[in-house]
Amino acid sequence: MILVIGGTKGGSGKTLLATNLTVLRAVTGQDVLLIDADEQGSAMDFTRQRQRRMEGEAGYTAIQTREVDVAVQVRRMAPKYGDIIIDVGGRDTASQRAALAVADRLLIPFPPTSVDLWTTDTVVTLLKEAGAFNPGLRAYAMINKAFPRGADNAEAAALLQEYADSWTYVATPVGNRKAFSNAFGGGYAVTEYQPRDAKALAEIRALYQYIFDTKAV
Amino acid sequence: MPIARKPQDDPALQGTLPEDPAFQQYLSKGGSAAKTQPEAPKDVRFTLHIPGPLCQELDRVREARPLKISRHQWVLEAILEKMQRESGQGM
Repeated sequence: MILVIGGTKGGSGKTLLATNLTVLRAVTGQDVLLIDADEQGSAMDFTRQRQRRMEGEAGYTAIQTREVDVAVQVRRMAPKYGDIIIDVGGRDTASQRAALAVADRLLIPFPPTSVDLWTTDTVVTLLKEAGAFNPGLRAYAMINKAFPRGADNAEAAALLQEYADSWTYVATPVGNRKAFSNAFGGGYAVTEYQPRDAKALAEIRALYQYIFDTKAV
Repeated sequence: MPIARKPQDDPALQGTLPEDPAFQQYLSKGGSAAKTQPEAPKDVRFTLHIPGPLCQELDRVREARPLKISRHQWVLEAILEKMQRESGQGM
């Protein structure tokens, strides 16, 4: 599967999801390629941190590329890897567009805040344009950085479900949990991090199970 | 080692993508990646050994302040003050 973690707004937690899903996929024995198409390069930083900690073996392959070369590399690497996960930057970039032209699936995380949800229309436009070159692209929207309480999560979910023509709403929200950022800083997936955060584990495993249609190890 | 020319885009690889102007137009509607900025020098870490009595004195001075600051912050301030005195430049 070629999976893009995308959207048009920064700070939605794309890199955390991309790196966690990459590690969860890799520990099942799949050969996974993580493509960092975000100019910030945080997914590569995560990988370097992980390699440093694991004596050079992150458990997956990571490369950094951008713009049209994202599509070129995906086409080239697709036969060699079981899965390719692409982290794109937090805005409408040529890199993201190139990724969408060759991907199977797009996962769009939306934090449940107005300013994030206001980007839905720009994502819909982007999807329509990408669909002209990649009719097979399937999009999924989810709530990321969910609040621990309050009505915002449910209201955001209701809004995302209004776009059923554009994407499938995935009812596996991921909370705004410190465990994710703490784990990331050490080059860990949240499933590998101590002390364990049972809620974070359950959330990322549920998302993984939905996206890859199989249980996380 | 002979000098190699800068590699060109591989036309075989490019050929796997749509070449029509519509695809190029679709791509160009996305913003370009930001140009690389020159990297700022990275923070430097090193171990500082301070004689016990001097450190005690440092803590006494530090704790006499109405607003407490860390040893690290205090030492940074001291460095900046010394630099200002010696070079006439502040940061």
